Amino acid sequence: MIYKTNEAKEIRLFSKGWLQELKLKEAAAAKLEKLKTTDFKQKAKDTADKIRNLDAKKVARDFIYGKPHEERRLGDLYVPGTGLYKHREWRGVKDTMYYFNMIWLYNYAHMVTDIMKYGGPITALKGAMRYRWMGQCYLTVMHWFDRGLEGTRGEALRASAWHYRGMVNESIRQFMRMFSADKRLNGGEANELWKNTISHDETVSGNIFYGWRDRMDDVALQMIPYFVTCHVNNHTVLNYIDAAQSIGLPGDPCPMCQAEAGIFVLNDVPDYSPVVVTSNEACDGSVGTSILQDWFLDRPLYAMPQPMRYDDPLVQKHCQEEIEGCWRFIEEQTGQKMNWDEYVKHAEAFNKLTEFEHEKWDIAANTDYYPITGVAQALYRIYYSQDGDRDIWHFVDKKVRRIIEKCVTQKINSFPKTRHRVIAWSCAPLYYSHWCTWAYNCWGLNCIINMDSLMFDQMLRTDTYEHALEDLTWFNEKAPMRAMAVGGHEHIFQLWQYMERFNCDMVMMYDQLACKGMQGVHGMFEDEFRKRGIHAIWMPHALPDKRTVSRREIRQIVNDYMFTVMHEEPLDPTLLDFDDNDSW
Amino acid sequence: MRDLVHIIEFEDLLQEAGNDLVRQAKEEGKRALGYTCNFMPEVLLDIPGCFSVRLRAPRSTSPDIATYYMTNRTCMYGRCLLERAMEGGFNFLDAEMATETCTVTCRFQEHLQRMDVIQNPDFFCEFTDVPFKKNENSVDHYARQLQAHVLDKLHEHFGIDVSDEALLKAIEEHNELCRLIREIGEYRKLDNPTITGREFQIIQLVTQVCPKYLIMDKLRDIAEQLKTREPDEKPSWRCKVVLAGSEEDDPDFTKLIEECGALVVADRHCYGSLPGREDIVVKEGETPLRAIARHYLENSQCPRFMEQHVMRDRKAYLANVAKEYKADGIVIAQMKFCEYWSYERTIDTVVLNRDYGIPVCSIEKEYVNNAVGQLRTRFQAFVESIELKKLAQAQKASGGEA
Amino acid sequence: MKKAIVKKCLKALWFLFKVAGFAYLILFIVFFFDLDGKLLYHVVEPNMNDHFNKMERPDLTGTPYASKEPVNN
Repeated sequence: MIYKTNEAKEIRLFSKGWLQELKLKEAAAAKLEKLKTTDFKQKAKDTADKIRNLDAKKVARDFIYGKPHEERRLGDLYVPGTGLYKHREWRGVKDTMYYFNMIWLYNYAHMVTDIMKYGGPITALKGAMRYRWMGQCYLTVMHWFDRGLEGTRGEALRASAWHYRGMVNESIRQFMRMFSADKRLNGGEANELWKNTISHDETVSGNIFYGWRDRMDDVALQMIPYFVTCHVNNHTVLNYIDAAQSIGLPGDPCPMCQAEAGIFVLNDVPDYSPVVVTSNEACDGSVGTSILQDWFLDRPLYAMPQPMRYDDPLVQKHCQEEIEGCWRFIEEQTGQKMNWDEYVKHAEAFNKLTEFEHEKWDIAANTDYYPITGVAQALYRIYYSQDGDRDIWHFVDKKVRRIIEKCVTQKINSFPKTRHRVIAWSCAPLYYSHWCTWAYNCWGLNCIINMDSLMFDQMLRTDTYEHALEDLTWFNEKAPMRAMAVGGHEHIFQLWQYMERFNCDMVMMYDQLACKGMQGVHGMFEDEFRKRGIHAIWMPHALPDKRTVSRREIRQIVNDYMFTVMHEEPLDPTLLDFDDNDSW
Repeated sequence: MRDLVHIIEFEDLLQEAGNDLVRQAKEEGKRALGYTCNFMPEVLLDIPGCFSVRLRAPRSTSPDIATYYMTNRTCMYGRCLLERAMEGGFNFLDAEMATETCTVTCRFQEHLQRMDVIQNPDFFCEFTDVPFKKNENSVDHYARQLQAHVLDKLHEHFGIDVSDEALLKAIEEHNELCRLIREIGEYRKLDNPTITGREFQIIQLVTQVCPKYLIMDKLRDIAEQLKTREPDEKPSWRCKVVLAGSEEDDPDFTKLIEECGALVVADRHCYGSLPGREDIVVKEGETPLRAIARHYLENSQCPRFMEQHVMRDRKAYLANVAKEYKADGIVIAQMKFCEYWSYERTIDTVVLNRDYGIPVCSIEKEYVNNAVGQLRTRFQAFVESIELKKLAQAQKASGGEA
Repeated sequence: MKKAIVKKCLKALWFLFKVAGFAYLILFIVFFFDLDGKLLYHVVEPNMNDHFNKMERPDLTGTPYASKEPVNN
């Protein structure tokens, strides 16, 4: 059995010298020494003074309602190095109990019931023991919630937590489908589920497969094994990046694409489908990844590329035919005809999600009453829009709508300490998607919207086949990491319009070090920022790989900018610098 | 071997983008059309009244200003082009016929579009969308794009005749050039080739960066001379290799390989002739433009193509090239930060050796090749390994005697 | 008789209530002091990691790379 210390040292218990390694003796001696040198009389006197000077009313108020923002000292809660909490935050009676009952208990319970619902514990256990991304990540989900919800209160806590609940539920449904259909977990046999599942690259939208959802299911190859796990527990993905490089891939391609290739190199993708649909989204690296994926998957593959110059009216016909080609491919390979009525049903349902998204944007842009954290907004949007219509998204939206309506009608400002309204641009660090909660708690930087939330912004008409195809084409052309990044510099420079639309006064400019597309416009952005007098903080990162730029370094860059350029003081100085290097 | 006729002159022409022949053609009233990628069909840009110039940035050193604009984490080819453009080295261009076929060259071309870099009042930059597949849908799409973004624009801006007759004439001239290049390239297939890799690369590059009508006679002279050119009695090379990979427009790099004892007998890279110098055939009932679109899609071996059978056939193609040109191995050279070739090189390195038994030397390099010493060591080791392999095979064939 | 049954039921319910209350309190302690995280971080994850590090994995670079027929169109 292995025990990992706070310094990330792994000690094999009961092996030779394990007790010495644990340094229990030294720890006990240090404690003893401390006790010996402690002046208990003085300490008792100090404590008594403290109690005497306590403002009982304030203590009671802090207990009942939680401490004011500036007094929270959230940084003191961390166990250095680990990202664990000495204790979880006390948010006042109501919010702490809400967190405990409706987030912690509720979600732990649902992590069990969802598994029962979607395939049973045996299947889940088999998957957990077979696939690293499952075995290492699943149970750490609640700490993903913790990181994203740090410091939140009231409606922000509730609305953001519902977003997380939706993402967890759908992730469970997807990996349980993978495991249930997986040949490897089912004695090497292709069962009915295997035959009735379509696998696709995570950058291919689930909307493409609506026509089969009454009989079949579609599950993205890397969405759970790679993308979700980066958010939940970023330790896992490092194995996949290293694996891709172990077969000769250089270190400079986009680490997301490297990791997506690496899960195949390590044979860590379930064998759950007879076919694959892939795409060129979002970039050259995705095309490159397809080469390796095809090699390792070795089964019929349909490439459904999207045009690069996507707002050229001349490209639409070509793209439409490629989508139709994909549909024909599925029909030929699986023998299952596309059901048009099913497509219509899901497309119309998805429009409802998009409608609500537009309403959310409107509130975020024009009021102070938007109760969703930057990280919840960004992740939920990408999870659901990439996945397509599913019941859980409607369930979550219903809950969130109620909260937002309450905020707007009662004029509840969930982020009252906002100093700057921030727009985050380009692609985000997956291992630090929760930087927004830190930035708000520490500096009052409120991330209102991010670039990837703005993609897939297309209603799907269903009145005729032609209209449906036309809109579906547009929808797929405006995919994440892509809508703004390809097809001409005018797309990426839409930042100025969105800044205005969302009333933002600051840009968090993600600087993905291996993204050739964004690196290629770096200087033009610098020029524009200067010319327009816009405060922009460049946030360097390597998408899933925290080894390149750590979270601590990212915070330092933001701190430096806030001190030296903005001349501001932190709201919570304990958050300025802390060690979370080995946290999830 | 005796020096090839015109080779010194050709070498001089490669020293700058706006060379003597480019200037001459401009003085004759022709429009200079720049491009970076093979997916911008040069034949369309060589239509009467225009000439194509595939952009290079010879004699580049450190692209400092371009690095400010594109950082040092992008392909150096793209950065050096931007640097050269900013230095005024591409001011002769009347238009840049751009493609979004790889990210960094796309960004380079967007800088030309956005930043008023090219000091030429007539200059414009127009992008064409290039498909990722070779199916009929893609050919139709590509033809539509070329019509709208190349031909129509040339007509609109410069009044160029873009009729089918003009295209047929351009195809005819293009095919003539390709025939000459193929003829010259054929000598690389000899057991003891009468042209070196470096010489061939110089010739091939000149055909891409100079107005073709000004070099045709010189190419004919070279082809004529090669008919009787005698190889060195004792070859200076120890093995023969194919040079494959991404962008490669530096004859000194080929020279480096050849100095290490590996004669480059085939060039399957972005600026190479394999593929690229095949005749464009206009089928019956087909428009010349569609024939061009079909030709450029069908013949390309770019790792950008995503269809499963195409991805896989690329390896077979490369293996066939090695066989046809009697190469002992393949050098796969990838420009650092090229995403497509990072992946393609990885798989090529495994599959070509494993499935086809061809030794592969897999390297990464920069546009400004400062790592000569390291690469020299790699190539020397590769040559030695091939020699050892040959020796072992010979021993095996002769019954295993030492 | 009836009274006894009701009394018994009430007693059982009270017992259940006490057990549930105790469990709730324990869970709250686990929650508040992040004991779930500590267990996962210090014990569960390193052991799972060890399990996956030891797992035998095939060398997939041996996967055949045969030519394929074009799929539709």
